[in-house]
Amino acid sequence: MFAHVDINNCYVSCETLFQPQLKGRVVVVLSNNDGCVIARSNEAKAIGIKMADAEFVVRKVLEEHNAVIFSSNYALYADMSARMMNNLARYTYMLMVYSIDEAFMALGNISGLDLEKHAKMVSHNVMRDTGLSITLGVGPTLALAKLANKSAKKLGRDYLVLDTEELIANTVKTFPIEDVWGIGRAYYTKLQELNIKTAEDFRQLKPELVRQHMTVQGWRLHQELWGKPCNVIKDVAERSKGIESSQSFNNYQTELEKIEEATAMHSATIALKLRQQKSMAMLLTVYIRTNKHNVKHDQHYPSITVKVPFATNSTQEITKICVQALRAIWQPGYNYLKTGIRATGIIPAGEVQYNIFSNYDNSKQQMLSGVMDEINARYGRGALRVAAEGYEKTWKMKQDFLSKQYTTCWKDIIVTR
Amino acid sequence: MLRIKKQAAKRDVLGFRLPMLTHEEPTLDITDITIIDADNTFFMRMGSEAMTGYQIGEDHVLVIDRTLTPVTGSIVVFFHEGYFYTREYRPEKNKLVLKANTPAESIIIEDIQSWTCFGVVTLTLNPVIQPQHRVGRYSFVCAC
Repeated sequence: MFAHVDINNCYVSCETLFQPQLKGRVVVVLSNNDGCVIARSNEAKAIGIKMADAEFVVRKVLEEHNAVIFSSNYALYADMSARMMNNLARYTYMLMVYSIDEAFMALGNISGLDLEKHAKMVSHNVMRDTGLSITLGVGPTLALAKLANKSAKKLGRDYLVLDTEELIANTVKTFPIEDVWGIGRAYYTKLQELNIKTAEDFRQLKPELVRQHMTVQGWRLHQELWGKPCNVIKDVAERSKGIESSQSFNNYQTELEKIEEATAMHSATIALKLRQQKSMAMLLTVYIRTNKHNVKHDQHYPSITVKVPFATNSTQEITKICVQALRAIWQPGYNYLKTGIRATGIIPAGEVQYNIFSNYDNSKQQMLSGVMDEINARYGRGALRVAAEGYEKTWKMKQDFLSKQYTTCWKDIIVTR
Repeated sequence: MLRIKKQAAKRDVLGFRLPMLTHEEPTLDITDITIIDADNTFFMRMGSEAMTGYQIGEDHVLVIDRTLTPVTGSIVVFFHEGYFYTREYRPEKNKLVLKANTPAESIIIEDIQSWTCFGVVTLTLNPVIQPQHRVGRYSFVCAC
């Protein structure tokens, strides 16, 4: 048996926990640079605000409903998410963190365990202890656990257990196929042609037919909806295949120097992420972009991929390479709005191949990075950084509606009366 | 949340190994007895003199545990009419009294169902360091 747990309106819940007066109001959280809506309270959903709506498009509606707007406070969300996951881990022998607000839990096959009671207890305790409201779905497979979670939300419940074929059959009968985990737009269009409207319609398809129309993923989903587990819980995150760090500027940048600073900052982020997952990158892609929505401006979206001589995760090396790469693609006269770096060709740090003819020695870089990480862990991120990152950061992202860092910054803790 | 602040010197010994190393135990860590459930502990600061009778002065740091259910006499943090408050939990027959030094500062909740507790205060930190010591890294003592 598996459980799928997610935090309801995660980012909004994190904000309202510390500002309870906002409960019951239209609340939205905006993405980086206050670009578009990425989290909505139930009240915001009710007035028709959609996920990824651009802020300037819905601004008027939000104003009319006296909405409360937040910039993304990732320090807060990441801390609250970690608290949630640590809490969930107490109720399972294996937890698979699926995203910042979602996780799967293995519940095993303990005979005599009343799943209904167990789900109720977990849901109640976790909500009390973290202060965030969650929904919990239980089923014999990951797909059914996720389906149970969605059904619970539709029913306005905190949890739903689908542990018998009878309960499953009853639920899938009315469950829209487009809401099933793994059914994207392409599959949905295909299934519509076959007149498949509900999860039950899909279940009634013959396995051979599913195989024929969809890939093995579709077949697995079909099996899972019949309660036959195909996907397994992995408790060790796979090494990511690519790491990206990018950000829009708060206004147009024409000077190379400012874009270099941003590039250096992204380099540091990428290098740190690589070191955290004990890997190194062989390819680095640097790109810059103008604003495609601004038709008055000349457009320029150059990008360049550099193969580094020796796979690296050193901040100094990555910064040096990326800043050089940026200089190669930057051109004067354009109004750049965004820059980013992508690291690919990622290999475990232990498997780096050195060239027999070179006297390259990365142990010095390794030690330097190690010291840097230690200092930054103690005095806060960015306390020690490469000078190329600059000091003023006038290009920093736009966060006009940022709330406080209630759980990660002493200066920001709440003062009670 | 908890970071190791200490830096241990290297003690690789070339000659004889120090005999006490085999008996080494981790040194006392104040968080062992102050923060019991780190994942569910929050910090706030007392911003008024309303609870001085409970030895909670202004600027004391509050350690708040959400896993505990308040009992009579607990010091609780809760949200009420736009603000967070720290008060003593005193349930009575048909109402909930959230007591402070004086009745004027106490809060009475008639509709008990509508009240939610943010957490139970397990401990308060009272900085007693003298101003002339508040320099360098000592300026961080309960500073927030």
